[in-house]
Amino acid sequence: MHSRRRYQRRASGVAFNFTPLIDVMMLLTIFFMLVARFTSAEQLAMMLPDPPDSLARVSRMPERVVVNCRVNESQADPDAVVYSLGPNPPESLGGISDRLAALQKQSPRLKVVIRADRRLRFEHVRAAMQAVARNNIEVLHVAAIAEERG
Amino acid sequence: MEITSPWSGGLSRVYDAGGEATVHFRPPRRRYTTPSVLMTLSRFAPMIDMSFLLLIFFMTTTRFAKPEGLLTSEMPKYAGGSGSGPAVPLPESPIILRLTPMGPGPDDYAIRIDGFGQAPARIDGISEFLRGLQQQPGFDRKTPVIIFAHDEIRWDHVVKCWNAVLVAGCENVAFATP
Repeated sequence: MHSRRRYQRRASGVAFNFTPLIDVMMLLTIFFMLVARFTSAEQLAMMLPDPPDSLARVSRMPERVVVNCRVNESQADPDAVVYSLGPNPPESLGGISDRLAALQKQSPRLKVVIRADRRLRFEHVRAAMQAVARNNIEVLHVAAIAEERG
Repeated sequence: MEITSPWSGGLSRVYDAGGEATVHFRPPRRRYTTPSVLMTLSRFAPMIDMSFLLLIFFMTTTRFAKPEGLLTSEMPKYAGGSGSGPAVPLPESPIILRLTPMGPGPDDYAIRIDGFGQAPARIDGISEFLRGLQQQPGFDRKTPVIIFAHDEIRWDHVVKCWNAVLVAGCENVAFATP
């Protein structure tokens, strides 16, 4: 027993260093998390409706187009509204409707989300809804603040 | 006999016992030197690395803003013309909920439910009222609820009203223009 212990091979001084591996893994994780966040960064900042006990569901739809309805902060008129398709520059509702029609031809299962500022009057949002309905898009999604669920 | 060697760091002794000589060697001792500041700091490098990585990780993952969600509704089929008039006829006994402005302020509004004078005029009590209504004969969760919102009403109130109807458990909600 004693002799066996005597002739046991000693542990070599070479060991695998995990620190760079962990460093790189963490960096890659953070990188991909930031890249994934770019999709939400495309959405324009605005004050969305914030209902109490919100039933709005956080969902990721692959084929979706966002119609933004914003208050034009640059103008003196508080009721001035600006429409835009996703992160694109503002355009008229007629133009948005035409582009929706073209997108609808490309992908018939297109889903439209209306993101409207909560300060807007209903008539402005209704006009956007009409532009969507004109293209026979039957299901409409409206953006609102979702309740935090632990 | 004692022999002292300057390089051994210790004392090596040789004893003569019965004609056999036994020699003991001591390993040379390392001389203690005060570690430099750079050496001391370098030992903390992995800890600092990990601290920064964890800090960045939690900074990027933590979200203080509430998440954005979607409320889904079915659109009426477009009937042409200037409006988006529904092509389907309205149901016979829906619950009709009217949102009307009551003053110049953005929050001056009132809610009225046709046929129910005792209905609350603010959004806060709508869910409870509709839940109570569903217990009455002729009404259930599938009873259509139609929201007539005035053009002057703020979008925030429309969405809050819509959400309150959904919270009450109503499954059939539609929009209409007065």
